[in-house]
Amino acid sequence: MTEQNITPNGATVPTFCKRCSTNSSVINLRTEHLCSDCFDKYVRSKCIKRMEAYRVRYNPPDTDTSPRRLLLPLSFGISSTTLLHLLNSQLQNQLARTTRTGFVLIVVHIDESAINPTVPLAEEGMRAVQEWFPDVGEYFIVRLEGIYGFSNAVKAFEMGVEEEERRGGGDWREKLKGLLGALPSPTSRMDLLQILRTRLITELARKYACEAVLWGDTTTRLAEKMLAETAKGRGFSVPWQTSDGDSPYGVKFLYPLRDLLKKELVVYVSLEVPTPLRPLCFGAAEEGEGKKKHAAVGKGITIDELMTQYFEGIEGQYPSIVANVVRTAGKLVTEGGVVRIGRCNICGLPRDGGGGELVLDAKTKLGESSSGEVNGNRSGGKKEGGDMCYGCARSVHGARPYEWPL
Amino acid sequence: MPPALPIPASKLCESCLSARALISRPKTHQKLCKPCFLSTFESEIHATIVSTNLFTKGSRIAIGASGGKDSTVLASVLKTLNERYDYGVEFVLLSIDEGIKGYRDDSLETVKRNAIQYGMELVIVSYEELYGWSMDSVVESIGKKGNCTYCGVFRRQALDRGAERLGIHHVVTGHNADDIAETVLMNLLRGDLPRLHRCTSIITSSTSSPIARSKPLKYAYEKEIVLYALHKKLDYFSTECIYSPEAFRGSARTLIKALEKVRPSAILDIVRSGEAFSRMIPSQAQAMSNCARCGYLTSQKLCKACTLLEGLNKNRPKTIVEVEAGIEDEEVSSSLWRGIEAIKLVEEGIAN
Ligand SMILES: [Zn+2]
Ligand SMILES: [Zn+2]
Ligand SMILES: [Zn+2]
Ligand SMILES: [Zn+2]
Repeated sequence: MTEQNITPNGATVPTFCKRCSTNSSVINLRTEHLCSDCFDKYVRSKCIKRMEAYRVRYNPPDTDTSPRRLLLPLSFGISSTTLLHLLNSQLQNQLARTTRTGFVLIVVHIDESAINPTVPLAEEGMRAVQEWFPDVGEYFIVRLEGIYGFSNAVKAFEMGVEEEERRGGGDWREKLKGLLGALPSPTSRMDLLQILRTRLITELARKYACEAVLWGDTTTRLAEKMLAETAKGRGFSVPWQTSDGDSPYGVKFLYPLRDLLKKELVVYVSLEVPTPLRPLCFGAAEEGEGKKKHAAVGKGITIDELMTQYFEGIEGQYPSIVANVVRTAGKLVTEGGVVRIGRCNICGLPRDGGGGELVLDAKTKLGESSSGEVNGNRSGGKKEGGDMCYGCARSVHGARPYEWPL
Repeated sequence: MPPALPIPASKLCESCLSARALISRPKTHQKLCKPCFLSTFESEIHATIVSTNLFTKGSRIAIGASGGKDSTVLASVLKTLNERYDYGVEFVLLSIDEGIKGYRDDSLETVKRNAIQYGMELVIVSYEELYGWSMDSVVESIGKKGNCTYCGVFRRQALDRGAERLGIHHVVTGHNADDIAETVLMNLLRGDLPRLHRCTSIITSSTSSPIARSKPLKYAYEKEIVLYALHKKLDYFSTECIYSPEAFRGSARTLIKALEKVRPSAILDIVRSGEAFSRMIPSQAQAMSNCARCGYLTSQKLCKACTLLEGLNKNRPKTIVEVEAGIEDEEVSSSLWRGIEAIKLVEEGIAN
């Protein structure tokens, strides 16, 4: 794939790379035409800059120089696959220069076949990826329903389910299906699915003694998330979902691709050199390349999907706006001064005022009891959503009784 | 006369459980009869007012009245609530005459009728008398492009000055939940933290103005405002400004409407998120001083209105003074933002 210029007489000539002036360009990068080599350097530099903290450590002799363990969730999408590739080459470089590495990866794929039969075949994908990147660390496949296995995290937040049923355990796969099936809308399902994924991944990070999770989110994805979370009433939690550093889950979060746009990665994985990544993106068949037929509003589209559409438009013409949104997210500080009553039972984040004002109608506002709607919360006279943050209370509002795993 | 047929349970009003439901509330999809809808709408606004201690007994408060649906519904509801709950507030209608023939002169007639219908005093201040320029003459001088910037900046000051003239320190405006949600999203896209900080406050005793502004309709959905006006048979003016067609509102509005369709609570949820953001922005007090020319509070040497007027009076035709997006005005337009506004969401049917 070479960029072409059309000359006045109709012939096409390749555009040359702005940096090396020798190769033909493959991408117009924020007004600069780059060849694949120079673009590759650019992409690497963006990622390495964010991985500064994980260079090989040189000793004061008494310090611990064993490589640090980092968990990389791999969905086989374009972003996480690219991230794995970039970290692999960073590790190769470290080895070549110092015979040691600064970190080791625990690559985890979450198998979601329980709730989505069309997901890529986990074992096959993992084997292929592992063949390409054999030396980065360990590889694991974990089923999403495995979240029920973290019994110490199961806080028995089980709405409307009797004690006996609760002890019975039951089939995890069926339990998970039942849980998501009980939710009132596709938006709620997608919302809680993301939460389940995050909670499972952070549990795994702790289990495998990882100090941080390396998320594959691009600038574009972070901007989408910022607006989607805003629209779902989760504005209060944006810093915890978009910024590098300590997370409330007891592990660090890092977003090494935060300075790259999604459309840039789409070009990057399509290049033949240095590694043909596209064939490894098993989960990306309909991701980000304009092939996906967008669902129309009102036909089961979710808020997250709507934001993805919106930013595809913005990223195409106004990439600076995408960066703007992420920069704004980075300036928000979580409320320290506000007394935290506790954690949300669903997402696990320190909750905001809670779901008590969910309906924001006159009755609720004036402190009268709400209309006694059955939403599965039978915890006596407690206000609906009292144990949840506003966003989670919104997502489970109107759900049938179900059992929450965490 | 044959006895009325019993109403099937599925068609009953979910609130009074006796009348037939006629309205599906846009905010919650609750099915209500007409009287229950009207009283629910009113009591939510009452709850907003009470829970925020918005009014004090014995005060005089101006309602920024354009004759449009939002401010007409606001005036009507405030009159109703003032009587029902004995707020003890004297409401005055304050209208701005921008000087737009074929638009404002007609809508002012509506406001004049409203003043009689609601028994409220009406005061009209014009751009002409405040600035020496009507919008018609501004457009004549600079063209239609960018005129909304002038209008927005002028209007903000005009409401304040009108209030000052009346000795009033509090102006309520008809901004609704959709407006606020849209502003939250626009400020996120712009990365405008100062405005993100204040756009969801129910009341702003602004740094740039001695007059407090408040938005009693901040939790009211636009669709419910329209329904309320319809069922109360309110007299309002619905023609779009001839210089600022509806199309101008663009994609942030389209996005809000699409979100509402996906999940009706989304508008409320965005307002809720906006309120959280407001507490998450480190306060950086912006030093304010008085405008060197007119004395209005400003962060610059000259206030925005005076900056714009300077350009107009120097008679630089076709030159649009691009005003730095400060915290004072609510509306800023530039070619970039109009470009973003033009971005379309993919599928058909998204627009309404
Ligand atoms: Zn080059
Ligand atoms: Zn939560
Ligand atoms: Zn009723
Ligand atoms: Zn001035």
